[in-house]
Amino acid sequence: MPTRRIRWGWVAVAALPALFLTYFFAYPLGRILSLGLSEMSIGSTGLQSRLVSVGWFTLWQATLSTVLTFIFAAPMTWAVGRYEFRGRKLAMALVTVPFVLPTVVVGTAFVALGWRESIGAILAAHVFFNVAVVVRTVGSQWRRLDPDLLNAAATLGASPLEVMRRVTLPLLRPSLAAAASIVFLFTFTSFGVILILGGFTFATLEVEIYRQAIVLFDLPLAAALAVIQLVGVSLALYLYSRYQERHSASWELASEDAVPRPAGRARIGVYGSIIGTLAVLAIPLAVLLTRSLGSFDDLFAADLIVGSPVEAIRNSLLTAVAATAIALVIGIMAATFVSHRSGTLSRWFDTTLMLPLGTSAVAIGLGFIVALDWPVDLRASLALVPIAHALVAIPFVVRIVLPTMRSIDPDLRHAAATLGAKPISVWRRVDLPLVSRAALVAAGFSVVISLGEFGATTFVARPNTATIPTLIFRLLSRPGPASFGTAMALSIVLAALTAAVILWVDRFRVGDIGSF
Amino acid sequence: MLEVRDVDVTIDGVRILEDVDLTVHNGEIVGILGPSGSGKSTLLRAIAGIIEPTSGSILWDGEDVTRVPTHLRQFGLMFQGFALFPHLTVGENIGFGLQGKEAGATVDEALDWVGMTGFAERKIDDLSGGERQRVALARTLAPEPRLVMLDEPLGALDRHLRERLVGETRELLRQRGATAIVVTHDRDEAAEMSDRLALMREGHIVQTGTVSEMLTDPADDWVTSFLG
Repeated sequence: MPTRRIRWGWVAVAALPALFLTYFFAYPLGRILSLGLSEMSIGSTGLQSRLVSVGWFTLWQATLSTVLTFIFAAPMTWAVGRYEFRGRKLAMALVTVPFVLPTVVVGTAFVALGWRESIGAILAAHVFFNVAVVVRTVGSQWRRLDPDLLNAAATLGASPLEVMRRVTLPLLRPSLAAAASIVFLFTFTSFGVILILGGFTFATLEVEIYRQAIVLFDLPLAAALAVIQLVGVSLALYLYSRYQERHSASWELASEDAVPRPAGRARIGVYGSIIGTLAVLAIPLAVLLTRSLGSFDDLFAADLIVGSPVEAIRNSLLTAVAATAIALVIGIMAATFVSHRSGTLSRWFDTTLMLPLGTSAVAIGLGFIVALDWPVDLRASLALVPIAHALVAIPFVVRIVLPTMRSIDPDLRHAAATLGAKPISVWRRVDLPLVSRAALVAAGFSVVISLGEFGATTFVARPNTATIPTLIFRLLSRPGPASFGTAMALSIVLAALTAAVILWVDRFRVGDIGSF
Repeated sequence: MLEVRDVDVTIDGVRILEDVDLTVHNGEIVGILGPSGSGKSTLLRAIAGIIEPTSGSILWDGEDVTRVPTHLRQFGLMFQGFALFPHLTVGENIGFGLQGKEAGATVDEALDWVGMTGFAERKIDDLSGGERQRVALARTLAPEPRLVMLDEPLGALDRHLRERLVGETRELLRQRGATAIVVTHDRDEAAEMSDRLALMREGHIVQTGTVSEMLTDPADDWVTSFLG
């Protein structure tokens, strides 16, 4: 009987990602759970009173934000879903700009509009941020509906409005549900936008966790709120996946070639919707840009109270490089293991790698300050910021690299082996060159994530190691036009850096890799 | 009575229909026969109002309907791919164009016509190709359109099934005294289903008449070779 040989090489490949995720993700979450649950079991009155008001606000603002996003996105979704026209690709790229902007930039832009501490500002910023989710998700399914289904309804006597109600909308239900879930989840866990635009008047669960932990230093209460948040998000994700399973799109999709060009009045409607939507979206950014123009000189003045902008830019760039390196090493090792090994362990690993996606950045940050005092106290370590960013980026790296790795013909590896290559050199000389393109895209994503990351960073950044987003937040928290001007200029720098990386990544994009 | 007068259709700079003239009298079944790409489907879509003619006009009983939107024309069209609504049941598909209290009764009646009694609650996904054809036909006929158009009604089916359904479809149109246009690329099918044929090639109607009329006095050599 052949003995089952343990493949030590594979153990080594799996061990590093496994240890990293266990220590920096699973263990902190475990500590939050135990701390939070013991706080709950005491039946703290502070928890109950905060929970009712904060929980209720979190829920209704997310619901209202989702509804408003759909209303605002409807005309453009119709235009790009129903018709093919010149400039459509450009319009799709432009509508995606708000979505890829860091949340602090969006927050600053709405402050620049003069909309501070109001529910209107929060809702408007959420709509601004999420329009692209609806336009892209619903629009792309709409384009692939068989146009003859709509024509058939018309020949049977249905007016355009009836066709929409009785055929188009029911057929779009899968993508409508997907877009609604994504927007709801984003706005339910919204942090940066609400912290900047809501002050302490309006607090979501995320903001309240931050306030209890960082301002009031009540870690047990913060942990209890984080537990409730995690349970809520997990429940929502579970219900959504159940819904998708039951209502999965069973109908065939047509090719996009059949999408017609608009004629007559439809043409006016299409261009009107596109130009109108993009013009409204451009307002906050245009105002931010014009109001910041006079303040770029301030970036070079060392602000001794909250930190120097030049240093923050340097910190952000160094952090992005370190976070990207960590995320690539861990992510590619994990993807190598998952793509080469089949079986329960590999599948389990695949799922586990996605968990940080469903966990809010605030929970990751809180976990670090609650748990990382053991076995040695890491909480003051400079490495925590890039590690936190890497944790957020790893799921993206895996999702981008894994499909490419899986698509490599195994016979290429077999051929290399028959030519005398050792497993490690097969990986180095076959796998690695073939995934290099995907790895570059993943690196770009990691840099963008790190540059804009705000939620986890507020927990772990030291006062003397502010990143661009944390410095912007500190500047906004101080009264006076000078610090506000600096905040706006710094937001423009951050937006420009993000845009530059995305444009660079876009050159390597193949198909729909990395769309949400 | 349907009259198509001098209809031209140009899409993206390509002229798909050129000066098409066609008349269908009340109670008459006209077959449109031609090779693929000759503009047959485009003609049906122009008559239904799905495609707007670049020039020319479409008249019903002398009234110009060229600018009337599809849903107000009362012209039924059975689509080549059937275009059955995947989110609705068989009964809901057939009842789509019906309104009011009698809708349910009409659906059952329409299912009887096509020999699919008791199928109302079935899902479209669970139907075979032949069953889909029958449901699409029942859906087109149920609202009693003043003109019935069938686009390759048997095109997607295997030969055995076609032979059976040709007769059934013709009988159904006859019994109801329907004014109809049937598009096909199969000569025998066209001859069997219709009273009169219109032969199409490259966006033109080359000749109209019965098969024997056209063979006796063909408009050109192509007609002879295509029918022969």
